[in-house]
Amino acid sequence: MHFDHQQASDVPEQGAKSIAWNARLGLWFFFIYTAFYCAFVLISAFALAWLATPLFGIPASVTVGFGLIFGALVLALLYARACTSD
Amino acid sequence: MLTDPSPLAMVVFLVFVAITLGISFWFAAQSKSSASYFAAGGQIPWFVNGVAFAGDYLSAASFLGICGMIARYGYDGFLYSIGFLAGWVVALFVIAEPLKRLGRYTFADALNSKFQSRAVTFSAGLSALVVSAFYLIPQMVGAGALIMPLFGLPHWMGVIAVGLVVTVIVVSAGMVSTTYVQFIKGGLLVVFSGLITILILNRGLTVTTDPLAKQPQVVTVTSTGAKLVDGKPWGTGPDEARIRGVGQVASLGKSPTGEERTSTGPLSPLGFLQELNNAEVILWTETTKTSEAGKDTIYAPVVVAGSEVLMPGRSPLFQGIKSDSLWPKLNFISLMLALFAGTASLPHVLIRYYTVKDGRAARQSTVVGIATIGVFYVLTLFLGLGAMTGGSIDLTDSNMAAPLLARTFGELPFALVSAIAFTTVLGTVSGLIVAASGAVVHDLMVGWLQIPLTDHQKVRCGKIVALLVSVVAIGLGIWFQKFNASFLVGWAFSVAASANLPALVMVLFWKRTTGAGVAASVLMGMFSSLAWILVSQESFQNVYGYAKADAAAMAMVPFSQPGIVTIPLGFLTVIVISLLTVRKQESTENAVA
Repeated sequence: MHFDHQQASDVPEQGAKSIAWNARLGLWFFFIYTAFYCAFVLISAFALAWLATPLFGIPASVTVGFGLIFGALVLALLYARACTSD
Repeated sequence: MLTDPSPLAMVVFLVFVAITLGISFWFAAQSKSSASYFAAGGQIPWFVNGVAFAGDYLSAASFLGICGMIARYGYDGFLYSIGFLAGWVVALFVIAEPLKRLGRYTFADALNSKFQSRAVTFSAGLSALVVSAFYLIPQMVGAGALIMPLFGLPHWMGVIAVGLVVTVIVVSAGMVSTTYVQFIKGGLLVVFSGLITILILNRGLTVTTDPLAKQPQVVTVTSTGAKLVDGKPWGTGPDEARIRGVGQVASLGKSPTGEERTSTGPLSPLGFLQELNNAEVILWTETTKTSEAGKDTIYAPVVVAGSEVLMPGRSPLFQGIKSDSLWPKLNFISLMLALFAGTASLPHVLIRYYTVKDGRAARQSTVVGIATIGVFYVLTLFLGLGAMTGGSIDLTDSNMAAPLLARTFGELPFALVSAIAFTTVLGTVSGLIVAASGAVVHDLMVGWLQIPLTDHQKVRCGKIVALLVSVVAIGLGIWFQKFNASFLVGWAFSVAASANLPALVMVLFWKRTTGAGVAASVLMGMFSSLAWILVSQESFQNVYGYAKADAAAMAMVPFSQPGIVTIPLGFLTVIVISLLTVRKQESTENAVA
């Protein structure tokens, strides 16, 4: 029932196990990143002064912004490596 | 317009456009079938597709809009960079693989893979069309802004020029050539942004000595439509004036020996940000009032601490986050949510998952896309701040900061950057038009109206639709000239996220989702977010032209960005309607089984 929607496709069929693993992995990575992103947005909205704290001689707003961009890339690389396709 | 047309820039520019068209025609000869026209036959290599993702995504809004916003207001433009990139996390981790598995040409295929419902096809096709049209507006606005200083032509001619060239590309070629154009352009954009950043760092920061740097400027549009600057007619003649380029450093602090520093010399990336953090820069406020002479726009200089420039909340769009009131904060959260959820809902991004051969290639190309786009967005901060301190900002056009910054390094960088920005627009617009015409032909004509079309007829219809969409886009581009491109893109993201994301996520992850639920959710998300935008203060002020106070009074919603309300509304709709219709669905399934 979970994997009943594989029909409309002419690509070689992927194993159900691999599909489930990749999907679960993806959701975990998604939740991790979303937590950081939400924290950043909420801090900007409700505790803006925190972002003025200097980190490496520049306001944390900039450091954290770079962190969110590079963090996405690091997670993406980890995810692509951990995914299986049998 | 701040500058005179430049012959070198024109030549470089035309060569670029000619090469782009050449590539299109070359690939056009190879793509004849409908699968090839709409989805490149699923045969694009993943690396090429990944950079093409960047090419599609890094639109006029990213390059022109974000840099312009950072140049004028500081950090706020970078919030868009962060949000735009974060959206890729949703695309990669949640959407990419299942979407690839479920569909063939458009995301309506994926939504409908379980249901074979004409209502789903209709609503998904319609939303793809609406979102593409919305997303086209800022691209056309950006195109017009680029043509102005390059050729000295009015904005509307730029819009028409890009419309014509794109139409030629799309009608002649389709997805294969669009992909390669995007690949080349995405690569060039990142490389050249990197080069300009190196030039900015090498130049460092210098305190201005210009006595005019802190003088206000007034632009008047008289009742007859003539334009005056500080009371003088607009022009380059003896008694004429033009608006001055702005963007200067007011102070760099004192040296250890106690003298005022005048220049930093070459800097490292971190050094640049640290110096700016300790410096003072001149930013400009903008107020309008109606006088006897006509409508005045007064630009007044304000000296601002660099540490403040590197913090959110200086632009009119985001300054509400500094207030104590809740609505502006919700407006900000709403926009950031739309950016996060919007990427994975954009038809022209989703369609690119069908140009590669399998789920693995879809993942790999997304990672390449994220890397390319991420590097670019880091560079936007330097480009924007470089423009802020480079003395070349045109106060009357927030979209021109990046090309005008390049001009401070010489005519050739200016020509190259303008040409790349223009091909950027060309590429994104052609991708959008292919996505829109795919939605009309596959989803609305074949899927919903069930018109039997041969392969050949599909391609022909696709091209006719592409032509019509281009004409509409040209019109909208002229109408929305005054807007900052990234602001307009924010709207497109809101509509996309509200209409498409709830349905897509629920189809993929909730097995009780029904066709009726999906169709209702797409329509609800689309119409509610559109309605919200159209009755918001931003629209009353900027689209219908009311004064700020009147617009605030007339607005029917408490803040302008719909996402935080309409995205949950889309989820709620799909859940409620699915639960109401689930029994019917199950009984038909049993009957079929």
